[in-house]
Amino acid sequence: MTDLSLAASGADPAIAGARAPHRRWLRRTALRLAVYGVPALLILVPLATFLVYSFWTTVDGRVVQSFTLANYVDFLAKPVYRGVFTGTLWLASIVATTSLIFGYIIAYLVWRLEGRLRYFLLLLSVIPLAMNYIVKIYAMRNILGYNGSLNWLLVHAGLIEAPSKLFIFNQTAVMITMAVIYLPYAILPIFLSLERVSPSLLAASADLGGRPGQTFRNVVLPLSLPGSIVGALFVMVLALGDYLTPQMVGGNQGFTFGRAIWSQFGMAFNWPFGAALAVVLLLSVVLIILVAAAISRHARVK
Amino acid sequence: MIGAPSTGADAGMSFRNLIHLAGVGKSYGAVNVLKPVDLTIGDGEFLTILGPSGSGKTTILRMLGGFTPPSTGRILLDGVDITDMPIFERPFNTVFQDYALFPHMSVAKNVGYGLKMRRRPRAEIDAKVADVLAMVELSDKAGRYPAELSGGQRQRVALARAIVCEPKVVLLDEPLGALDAELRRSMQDFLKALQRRIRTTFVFITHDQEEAISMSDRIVVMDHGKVEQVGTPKDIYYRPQSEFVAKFFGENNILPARLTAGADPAIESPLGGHALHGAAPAGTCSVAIRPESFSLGEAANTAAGQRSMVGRLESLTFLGATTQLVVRLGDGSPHTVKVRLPTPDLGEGVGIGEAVSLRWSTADVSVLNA
Amino acid sequence: MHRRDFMTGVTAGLAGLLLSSATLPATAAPKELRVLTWEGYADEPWVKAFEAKTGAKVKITYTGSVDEIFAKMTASKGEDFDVIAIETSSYKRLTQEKLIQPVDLTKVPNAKNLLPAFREVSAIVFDGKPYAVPFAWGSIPLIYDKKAFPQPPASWSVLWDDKYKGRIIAMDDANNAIVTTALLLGYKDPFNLTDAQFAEIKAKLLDQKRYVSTYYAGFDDGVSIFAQGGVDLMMSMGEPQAPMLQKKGVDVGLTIPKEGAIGWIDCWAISAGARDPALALAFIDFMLEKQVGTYISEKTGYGNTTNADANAAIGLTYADKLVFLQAPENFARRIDLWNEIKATPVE
Repeated sequence: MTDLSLAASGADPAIAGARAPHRRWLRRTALRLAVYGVPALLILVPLATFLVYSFWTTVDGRVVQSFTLANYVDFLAKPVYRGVFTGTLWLASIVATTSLIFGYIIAYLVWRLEGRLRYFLLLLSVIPLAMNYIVKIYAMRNILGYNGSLNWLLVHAGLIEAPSKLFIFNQTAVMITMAVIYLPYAILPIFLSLERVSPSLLAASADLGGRPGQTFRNVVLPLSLPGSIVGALFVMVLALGDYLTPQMVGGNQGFTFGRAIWSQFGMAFNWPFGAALAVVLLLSVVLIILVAAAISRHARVK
Repeated sequence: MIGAPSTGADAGMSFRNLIHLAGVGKSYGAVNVLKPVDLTIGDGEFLTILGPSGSGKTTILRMLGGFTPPSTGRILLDGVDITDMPIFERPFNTVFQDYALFPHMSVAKNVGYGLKMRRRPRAEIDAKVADVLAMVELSDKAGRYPAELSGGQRQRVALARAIVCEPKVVLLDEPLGALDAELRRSMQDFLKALQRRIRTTFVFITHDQEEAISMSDRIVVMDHGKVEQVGTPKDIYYRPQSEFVAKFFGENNILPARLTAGADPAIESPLGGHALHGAAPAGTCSVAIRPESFSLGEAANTAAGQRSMVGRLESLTFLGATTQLVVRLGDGSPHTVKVRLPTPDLGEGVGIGEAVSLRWSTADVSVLNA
Repeated sequence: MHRRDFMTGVTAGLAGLLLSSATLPATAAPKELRVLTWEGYADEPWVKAFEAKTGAKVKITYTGSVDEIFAKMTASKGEDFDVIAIETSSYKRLTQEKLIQPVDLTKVPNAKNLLPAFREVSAIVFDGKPYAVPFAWGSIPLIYDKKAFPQPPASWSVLWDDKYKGRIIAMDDANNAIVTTALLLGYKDPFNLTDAQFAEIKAKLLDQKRYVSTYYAGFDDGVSIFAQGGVDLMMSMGEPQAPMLQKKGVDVGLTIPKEGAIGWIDCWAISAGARDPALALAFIDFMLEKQVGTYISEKTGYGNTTNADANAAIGLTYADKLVFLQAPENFARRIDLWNEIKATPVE
């Protein structure tokens, strides 16, 4: 960012440098303030508001502005919210793992391709990113639903007699839908981490007698795994906060922490408790991101 | 093809034939990157493939290593066709241009990788890795990661990794290209000494003529996807067969020539007429002679096989141990030659514009293909 | 709330026109009425008529949620608006925070037009004084597939029937679920439940979970799941879901079971900070004209409070069987209970 400002003001460096170092310093500082300050303001202020809210409480639907830890105590004391929290963490990890496995397989196959086809397929696999999220959930519901294409296929293939409700309105449906929707988010970072494995390393492994499987196990996997795990953790963060997918396809098993937070707003008017739950979620997300950062740093040192 | 006389045999080296490239060529679609080559490589030989970039030298190496399948021809190892043998089964190991060390493995693991792939026992791997690391003087770096090593050290790890499996051939793809001049020279010595010690065939790719001449048993000179000449460094230097080779190594005098056909074919050039040595290739039209192949001396003292000619000195450049002269071959001749003489040989005598008597051996005059 | 979505399409065009004229700079006329309402509740035909009749200018602000109404009202203690439209269960909080003032019905002659069921709505009466005037209404009925039910189900207990296990969907709304269950259990005051009643309702709803395929999220979501097939019964979100399903080719019926059903009424109220209470009263009076009520029923499919014939024409003849929403004793407790039910795994 600062380089940009230097380049812009440095059209005639000799003159600018001699005449106005102060002005340039000022301009650079102003630019930095704008570059870092505006997003900080836009992100930190709402976050701070939430944090403050989480220490207030409500009485008869009215927010009482006095400091209290009651909301956090409530979170820990009410087994419902604690249970939903751990359940959601578990769900998100399964989604992340599924995305990692399938994302890795797809990214690997695309990576092994050559020429134009490779980037065409990569583009194809990440195109769903441009689609509306709710449309994607509806699409998944149309596939998994009672009269959905999956059931149609199974019935016509003669595998089942009547449409099954096994694929929709349960935990499995949530996992499948999330894994499918978030798969592109996994494919991209995994592909990029595979891209960083130099072809000459593969050649070297083969040259030293490594069969394709050995090369994959000893070279490709260890070099691409850290980046891939970071991608999976990214998916985990997305899945943690998702309250729509469980709502739409989870049926009576689709209650997640995101929905617990959501339920505190709207008619419930319990913003402080909702804010406290949101802070808990935010902290876990920050923790996951720190783990991801640690993994990628460790991988880079090597 | 296989029955054709191979260039390796012509060179008369004392190596047993190990590899035979029989009509091996490569083209990508309509683009012919390597015209069919016939070449034998001897067991224990240090063979250098030399050429400018795009000459096809790397293509030969890649086909040897199994990284690229040839479009035509076969590759034989001890008489066995290995053209279609997968990379990982070939008893060859490569030192890559960028070293291609595994960044997530320690030096010892990198070096032991080939043995591990061959499922050798742990103890054997450890022992061999230790031996090879000692050989490349990196015993104290066994636990380091490639990122923690200098360029020269990485180079030696790559070398150690390539020789630890005792391959039949070590392929080296411009391994010294990334090193600075000083390190490069010491690595050249190191590499040559190592090769002598382990007596393994090295196929070495470079674009550096001096490197090729100082290290190789034989040199394959390539240009534009074609083998220009194969021979010992001296052969290549003093008996170039083409203008490209003649010009590729240092300074040379190239003079137009005319073939006189007949029962006793001879060549006629500004240096006079010579009998041809061996068969004259068709279309021959020039000769080459090195500046240092000349000496000063009267025609009267000319020995058998020697010629002399009186020319006129046009310029004289003192270069230290040697001095370079430019001599016009006779008054009114359009041709000049560069002559390089040890400075003491020159004495005090010659001045610009004065007559000088040049002497040379006809054996040092090479007839060049067009 | 959900039903506004349905109205948005109906009146979006009109609303756009109104909005642009409403935001013009105020002219010399000092009389201005500031209305905070949902789209569809202040449509051009009657707003124009009102302006012509009184010479006042109506400035309309549309809202998207109850939260927003409270936020806007509390920001200025009600001084930014004269009249607001909101649903019955919000009045407890509105009066507690002193954001609205009582309505003097003697100054609303058209109050005589109110149908009997809307004359004594306890949810909007505090300290014996009415704080609002009912305007539009609807219910949370039971919608069923006519193929499965030649006769409409008589009781809410059908949602606990083994025969329909996995073929039932219910809306994801804490209060509606709890109140409807309270009605089934025959509780007198479903808005002030005792601890014992809470416990029973919890057990009942947990039991129901086995039968429910999914808790749907909104109007369209419910319709789309029902239309996908495999569903016989739906605790609905409101009347318009039935015609929406018919349009998708699902032959459904709508019924108010014998235990009754939740009803909601949107009422007009006067802000505590109203500039011209007389003009506000005049507006409310105008809204109780029979033509306005007719228009509401015809355009939106919801009930009106003044024209019984217009209600009957769209099948809304059951206002007397409804229990109109009131502010519950403890909303947070109901949310917690509902969350607990949703979070409990089905065996």
